[in-house]
Amino acid sequence: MTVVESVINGVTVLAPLGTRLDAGGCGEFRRRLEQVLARGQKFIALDLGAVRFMDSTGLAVILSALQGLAGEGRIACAGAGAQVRKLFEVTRLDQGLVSLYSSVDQAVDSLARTQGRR
Amino acid sequence: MPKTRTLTMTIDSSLDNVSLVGNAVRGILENEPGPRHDIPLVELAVCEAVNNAIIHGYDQKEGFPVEVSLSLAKGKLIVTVADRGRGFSTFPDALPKVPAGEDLQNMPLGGWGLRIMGEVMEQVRYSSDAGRNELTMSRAWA
Repeated sequence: MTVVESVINGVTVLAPLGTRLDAGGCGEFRRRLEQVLARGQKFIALDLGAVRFMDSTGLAVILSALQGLAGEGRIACAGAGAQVRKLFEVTRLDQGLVSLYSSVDQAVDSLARTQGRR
Repeated sequence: MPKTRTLTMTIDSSLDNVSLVGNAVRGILENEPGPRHDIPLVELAVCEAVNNAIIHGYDQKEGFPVEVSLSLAKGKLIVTVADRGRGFSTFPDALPKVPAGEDLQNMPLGGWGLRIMGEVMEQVRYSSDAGRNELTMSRAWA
């Protein structure tokens, strides 16, 4: 799976271009997210606009990254479709741990503001 | 009286094949009466069960069958995922709950598949007999 990395307003944006972040296909996404964290990036937007399906393995990648940040940063998800939103809802990770935004711009704005306050 | 209608499909035990099952389940339910907003969750629960069969049952080795049976009858959806790999040594009487969500450092990274199945489906049962393991999930669907 191709994962595109960009920086917008000082916020790292990772965009997996595959349609599935699941047990069979999220290895590259995990590797790229770990690389970003290893470089010390603490405010990361995940552009999930291309992802139609995510399972608990994809979820665990994001949870692991959040635990790695240990409260010193934030991860925001942008453009999640219906199935991905349902996954966050049913696992209740949308209740404080993972911020969901309609667009990458909104996610980046929010992260940039938080980053600027630190 | 409406009769039970059942579709049974078999995939090879590769994680690359799980999407075939998910797409089939979604496609079927999108064309049947039922709560459309829950279709993505049922697709998710079924894929989690198939993942478990491949990852834990067959140690991600390809070349083994995973059979998925979907039945619709009398306002009920029943999905059975069967494999012939290593079964659960003990299957919990009550599935683990989804944690509250605030305590990040104690948030588990594993075991989400069963949690999700428990949240999405009304009943999840497991049995193993003569080398065939069956995980059966059901919920209202009308």
